[in-house]
Amino acid sequence: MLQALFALAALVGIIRLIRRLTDIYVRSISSPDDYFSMVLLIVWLVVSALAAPNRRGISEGPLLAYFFLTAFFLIYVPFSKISHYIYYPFARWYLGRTLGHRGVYPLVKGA
Amino acid sequence: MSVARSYKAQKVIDRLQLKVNRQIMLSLAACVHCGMCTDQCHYVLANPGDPTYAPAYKADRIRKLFKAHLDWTGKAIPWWVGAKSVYTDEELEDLKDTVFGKCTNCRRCSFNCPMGVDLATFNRMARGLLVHVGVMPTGVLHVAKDQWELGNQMGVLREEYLDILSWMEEELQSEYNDPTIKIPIDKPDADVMYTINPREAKYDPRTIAEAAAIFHFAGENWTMPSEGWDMTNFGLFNGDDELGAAVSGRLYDTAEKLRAKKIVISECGHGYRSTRCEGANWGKRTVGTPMETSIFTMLEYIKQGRIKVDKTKNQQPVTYHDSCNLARSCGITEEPRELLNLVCGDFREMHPNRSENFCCTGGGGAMSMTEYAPRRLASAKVKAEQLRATGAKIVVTSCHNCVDGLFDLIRHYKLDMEVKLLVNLVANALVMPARVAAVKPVAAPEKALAGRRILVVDDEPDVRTYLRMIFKDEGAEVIEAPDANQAMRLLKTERPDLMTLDLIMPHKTGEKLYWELRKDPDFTGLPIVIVTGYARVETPAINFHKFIEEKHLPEPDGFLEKPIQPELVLDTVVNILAKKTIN
Repeated sequence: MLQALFALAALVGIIRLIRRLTDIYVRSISSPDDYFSMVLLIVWLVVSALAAPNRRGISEGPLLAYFFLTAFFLIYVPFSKISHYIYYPFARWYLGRTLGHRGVYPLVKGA
Repeated sequence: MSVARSYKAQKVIDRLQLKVNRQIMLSLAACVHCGMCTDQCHYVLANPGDPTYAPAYKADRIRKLFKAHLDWTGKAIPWWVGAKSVYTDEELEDLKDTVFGKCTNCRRCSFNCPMGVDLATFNRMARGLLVHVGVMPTGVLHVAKDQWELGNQMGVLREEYLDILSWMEEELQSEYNDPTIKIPIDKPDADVMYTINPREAKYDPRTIAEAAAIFHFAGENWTMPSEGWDMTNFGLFNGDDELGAAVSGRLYDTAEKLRAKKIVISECGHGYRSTRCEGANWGKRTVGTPMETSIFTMLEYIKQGRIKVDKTKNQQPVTYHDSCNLARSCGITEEPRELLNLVCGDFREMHPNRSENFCCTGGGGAMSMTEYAPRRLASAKVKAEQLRATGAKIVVTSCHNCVDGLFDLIRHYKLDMEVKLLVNLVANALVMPARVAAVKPVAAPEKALAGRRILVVDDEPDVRTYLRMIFKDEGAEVIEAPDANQAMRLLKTERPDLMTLDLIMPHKTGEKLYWELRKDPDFTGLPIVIVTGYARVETPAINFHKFIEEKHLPEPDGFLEKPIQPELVLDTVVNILAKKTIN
C-alpha cells in the first residue's frame, strides 16, 4: 500500500518534470534549482517506494539510501525552492489578511 | 561587489532593500515556478507562445534582484537559483519594459497562485524603484507631475474646475427646470463630500451633473470641495508611496476641514482603492471620515426610497465589467449587480466575472503609456471576445479608467457596443418626484426665447448641437434637420418661428431651399438666418447676394458666418423675433 503510494507520487513527479521540460512557459522560468529539487524528490520517492517493504533481505540497500537521501534533503531545503512548504502558509496568510480586510475573501463565485 | 554598476542601478539596489517588506519578501521567496499563473494573464492569452508575458516570468525579472541581494542561496550560488542583479541603465530600461509595459497590475495572477504570491504588489514596488531614479514611460512622468503640482492628475486648474461645476449646475437647472438644483461648493458640515476623477471635469462632465441630480433628488445634504477633490491617485500606478500619501492626504484634510460626515468616491476603481484602502497606509495616518463608493450611495438611495427609478428606461441589453481594483482589490462585486438589476431591464453576465474577470487592458496607468498602446490593444483581444460573447449593446463599468480602456478596444475590434458608468444608467432611470413638477411653473425664469420654436438646418451634427444648446439655454424649443428635404417636411409639420440655414449641404444646397421658400407664399413670413461656413473659402456673402439678386429674392433676415459666436447668434435671432412680434 505504502509502496504503491510512493510509486504513484514518483510517477506524478516524472510527469511534472516532463511538463517542465516541454511547456515553453514553465521551461523559460526554470532554474537549475528547479530541476535539481524536482529530480531529488523523484529519486527520493523511487527509493522510498523500494524501501517501503522495510525488510532487511529485500530492501536493505534502498533503506540505507533512503536515510541518507532524507538527511540530504532536509539539509538542502533551506537553500532551495523546496523551502516554499514553510513559506507558503505565511504568504497566503498575508494575502488573505490584506484582502480579507477589504471583504475580497471569501471569494464570491459568479454564475 | 566588484563589478561596476551605474549610479541609477546602484540606487535601485539600495532602495530595494528598503522597500522589501515581510509580505513582499514572502511573495518573492515562495514562488516555485509551477506556472499556474500563466494562463490567468490576458497578455499571455492574447500572445500565445511568448513566455516573456507569463506572470511568473515577469515576476522573475524582479525576483532575480531579490535573489541576488537578499537571498542567501542567490548570494552564494547565483546561477543555481537564477539570481541576477542590474548593472547598467539599459538593464533598467528592460525592467521598465516589463513592469510598466507588460503588466497592468490587475492582480488576476495573484488570485490564482497556490502559494499566495502577490505578483501585482511587488510589480508595483519595482515600478516605484524605477520611478525613484527617473526611469518610467513619459506619460507616467507627466501625469505624476500634474498630480504633485496641481493636485489632480489631468492638470485641471482650480478656475476651470469651478467653471465646470457652475456650468453643470446651470445645465441641470435648465434640464429639470428647477432652479433649486445646486452643486454646493465647500459647504461645511455636509453629510456627503463628493469627490471625483479629474477625467470627469475634463472629458465627461455629464457624470458630475448626473451625480448632482441624484444627490439633489435624494434630498442629500452634500458638497463638492474646491480643493482636494481628486480621488484618483497615480501613486498607486507608479509605485511612489510619497505621491500616494500626498494626494490622498489632501483629500482627507479637506474632508476634515469641511467637517464632512462621509466621503463619497465617484466611480473609479483605482481611486477608490487608493483613497479607501491604501492612502492611510501610505501617509501613515488614521482617517476619521468614513468613505464609500458612490455605488453604495446610489444603491442605498434606491433601497431607502430616497430616489425612484424606472428600469424600463434602460431597455438595451447590458453587461457588467468588473474593475480589477474594485472587484479583486476591494471586494466590490455584488453591489454593482444589485444596482444594475434595479435600473435596467436586461442584465447579462460576461464570463468569467467578478474577481475572475479579465482586465479592461487599460489598467495600472496603461492609458497614459502611449508607447505601449499597440501591445495593449493586441492584448485586448481576450477582453474583446469576452464582451462580444455577451451580445450586449452596453458594457457598464464602475471605473473611469476602464471606460477609456474598453472604449479603445471596442473601437479597435469594431464591437457594436457603448461603454457606460453606473451613474449614467441610474440618472437615466430617475423618476422625477412630484415635488419637482409643482415647483416647475414658479421656477421658470423669463428667458429671451421662451415659447419660441426654432428650426436648425445644418448637415454637421456638431453645429446643430451647438446651435441647439445656444437656443435651448434661452428657453426655445429646437428642432433639427440635417438636409433641405427634411427641413421642408419639418417646416410644414412643425411650423417653426424661425429657421437657421446652412448654405453648403449635400443633396440640395441652402440657396436652393431659400429660393423655394421665398417663392412659396406659405413661408414668406418665415424669418431665415443664414449660418454659413464657406465664408473663409470664397466670399459667400457676395455669392449669395449675387444669387438672390439674379433670382429677385429678398435679403435674408440675418446672415452669420462661422465660426459661430454665441452672443451674436442669440442677439440676431432675438432681435428678428422681437421685430416680427411687433409687426
